[in-house]
Amino acid sequence: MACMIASSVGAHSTPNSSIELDFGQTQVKAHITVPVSEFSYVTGRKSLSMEELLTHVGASTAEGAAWTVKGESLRILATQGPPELIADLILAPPPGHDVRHWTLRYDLLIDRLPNHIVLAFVRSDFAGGVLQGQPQMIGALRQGQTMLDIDRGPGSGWRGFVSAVWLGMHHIADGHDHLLFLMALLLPAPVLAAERCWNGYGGLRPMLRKLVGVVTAFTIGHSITLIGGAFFGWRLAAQPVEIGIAVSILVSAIHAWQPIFPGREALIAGGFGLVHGLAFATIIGNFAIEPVYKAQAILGFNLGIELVQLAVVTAVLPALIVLGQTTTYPVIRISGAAFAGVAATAWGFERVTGTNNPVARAIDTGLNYAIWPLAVLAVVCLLVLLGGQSRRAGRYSSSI
Amino acid sequence: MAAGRTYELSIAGLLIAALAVFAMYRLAGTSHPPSRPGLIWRTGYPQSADEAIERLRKQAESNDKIGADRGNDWLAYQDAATGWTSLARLTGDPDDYSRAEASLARAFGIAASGAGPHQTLATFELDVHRIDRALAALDVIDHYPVPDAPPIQAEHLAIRGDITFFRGQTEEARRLHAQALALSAGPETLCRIAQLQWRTGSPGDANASLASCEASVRMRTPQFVAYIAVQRALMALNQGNWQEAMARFTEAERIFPGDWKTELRIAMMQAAMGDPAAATKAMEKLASKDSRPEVADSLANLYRLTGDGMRSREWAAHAAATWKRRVVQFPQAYWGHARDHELAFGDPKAALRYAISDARNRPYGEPLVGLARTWIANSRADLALVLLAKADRTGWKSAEVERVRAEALALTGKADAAQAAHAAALAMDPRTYDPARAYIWLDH
Repeated sequence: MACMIASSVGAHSTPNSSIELDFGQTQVKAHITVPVSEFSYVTGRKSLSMEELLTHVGASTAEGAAWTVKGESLRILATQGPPELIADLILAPPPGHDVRHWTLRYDLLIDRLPNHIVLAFVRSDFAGGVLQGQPQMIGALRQGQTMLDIDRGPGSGWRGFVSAVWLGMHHIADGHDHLLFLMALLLPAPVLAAERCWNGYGGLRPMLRKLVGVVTAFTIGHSITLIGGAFFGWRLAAQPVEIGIAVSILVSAIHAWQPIFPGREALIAGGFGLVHGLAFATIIGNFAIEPVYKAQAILGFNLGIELVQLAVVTAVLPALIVLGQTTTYPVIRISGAAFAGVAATAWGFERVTGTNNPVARAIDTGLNYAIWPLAVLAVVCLLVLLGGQSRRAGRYSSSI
Repeated sequence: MAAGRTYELSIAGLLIAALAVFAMYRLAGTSHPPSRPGLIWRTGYPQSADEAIERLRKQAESNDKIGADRGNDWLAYQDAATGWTSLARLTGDPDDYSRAEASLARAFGIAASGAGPHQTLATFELDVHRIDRALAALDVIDHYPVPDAPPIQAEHLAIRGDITFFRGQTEEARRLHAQALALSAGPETLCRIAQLQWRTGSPGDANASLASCEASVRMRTPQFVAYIAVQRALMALNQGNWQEAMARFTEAERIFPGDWKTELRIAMMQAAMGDPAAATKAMEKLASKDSRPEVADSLANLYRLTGDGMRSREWAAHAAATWKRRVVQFPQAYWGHARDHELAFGDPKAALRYAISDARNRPYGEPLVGLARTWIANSRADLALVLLAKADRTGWKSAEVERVRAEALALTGKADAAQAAHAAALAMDPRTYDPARAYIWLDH
């Protein structure tokens, strides 16, 4: 069978180097990645010293005054791909000059390999509104082009704070597992537990108390580990944290089905909140390189998370009030619990085995669209609530 | 609540949740229809690449002999040329193309004026990327006094579509392929449509067309089923889904074992997925069988990435010598390969000569992007951007285009646009910047 277009055979490029910059108030950190293969190919050696690296790196002000460049660490890292030389340097301008306008000089490998490119990124620039996790390409270097003018414009703490709020909002909105955990915990909020079963509607006040308790405890829990992660380096490998999150959803789903910790939802929310916070901490670990900016970043990120949580709770509240009083609520609660249970199992399996599974992929895709049915449900239930109120008000006015 | 009622509610809840998960599964699955290998017709067809090669060689030699014995039967030489061309596709050996060319020359030598195996000639010329000659052969067919049967006319239109595509006129190619499909819904045309959809940024449609292609064949040979699996693997690979790519390549190898290109791709995937030692062993084994420059380049790349510069240079030198010979033999067919070799292991100026010739001959996406990469290596990122814009106009879309564009834009000081291209590359292939991606030397 002939299929001409398929017959072309193309080759991928050889690996490039990269420089990622973290901008602080008084210094810039440079995180340099060099493929060992390319270094070894041209030098015959598999490593280089910090002194040798520093001869290939420089920085200067627009007027030509040299910055100080200090090596912080140099190591070889091989994860899944070919080994890479990873170097962290600290670059500081001379007194009286800012860190936002300068020229970078770099010529390791590109002085010898004509097809090698060094891609330059801003990994974090709190004052410029760039936070880690969204690196921005700012230029590239290659043979004959070894200087890069860097102009970050004026910066401000407010810009960084707003970016952190947005990042927090996006992170929780895109992180279906965090929200599903919260929703699973909220599912039994309208009903009362008796004899290891969920019974009828428990009233508005107890429900609101439960909601506030769960959300507050979850916030306190994840804030503790988030702050610990950012300031004190509390870390756990990603895999156990992600598995812990899947377990938290499964436990909440079982509880939504049949009460296993009635009255202690807040405690569970707080406990598992600690685990969820560790996941958040991986995002903001290197948000900013100075404590003031770091504190502002964490505050903003956390505020973003809380805003989305609040929006979700506000959106589901009318539904919980309206549907919680109906005879169909057990079906809704059990469907939600079963769905959360399936999602937790699929995600848990994926995270334990490290392989994709179609059910988890399907649930992730489906949850991207969950906002629309939720929004419709919220509006309908809100209208029902408002209609009920106006009818009650009508009856009251006619009775007097 | 009564126990019976709780039970009923639980069942209802479970059913609703199952329904929701199923709906989501369908929603997520639309872009990746599952493979349907179905029934493979094995009787009478080669079970492996070695068997297919052996059979094709015997048939081609026999047809050449029949042609020589009969003296005036160009049909035998046509069959021989078809056989040699099919063989060349399997072996990747340009000497088989030379044999096809010789059989064709003999056929035309004895055919009456205006007659002869023009379609076989067009297919052959397209295989070796001699676009103008392929078109000239098709033009002769258009002037035949008696029109061919619809399936043959459809094949002519489809080849014309391929030529148009290689000339960068994608919309016209699409029209010709659709016209061919309307005449005869053969698997070749459906496969071509799938390829075009894939290359122009519609992998979902391409997968659906491949499924139609598969469904259009009732007697699926092992070679055909393996071919479809490889196409799906390549699509998955270029979308960053390495696990699926590896599964599809392995499926192809299981169904039709011994195809060197599939074996090479499996080895590259092994390296990328964390086992370069196994990949080295597999590639060395392949290299010991034949001196294919693709294998030599892949080994040179693998040794380079694993830090063995000396062996890398040895294999690169071996590949360089073979590419040089092949470029003399069939220049148009090998300019692109020689360009990639020179870019990685040789001289960017030599790469530029090959890249310019290739892009002039076939001004469509792949050679244009290749030339763009070569201009960057020759300090002209500005010209790379011009070529990438030209590739855009042909409708060509890939993560590689965006990656090369990001580099060119960054080198020319257009940081914001570079960032957008960088993000676009990642959106198309989330693993395009993965360091392990470098192990995959042949990626489309």
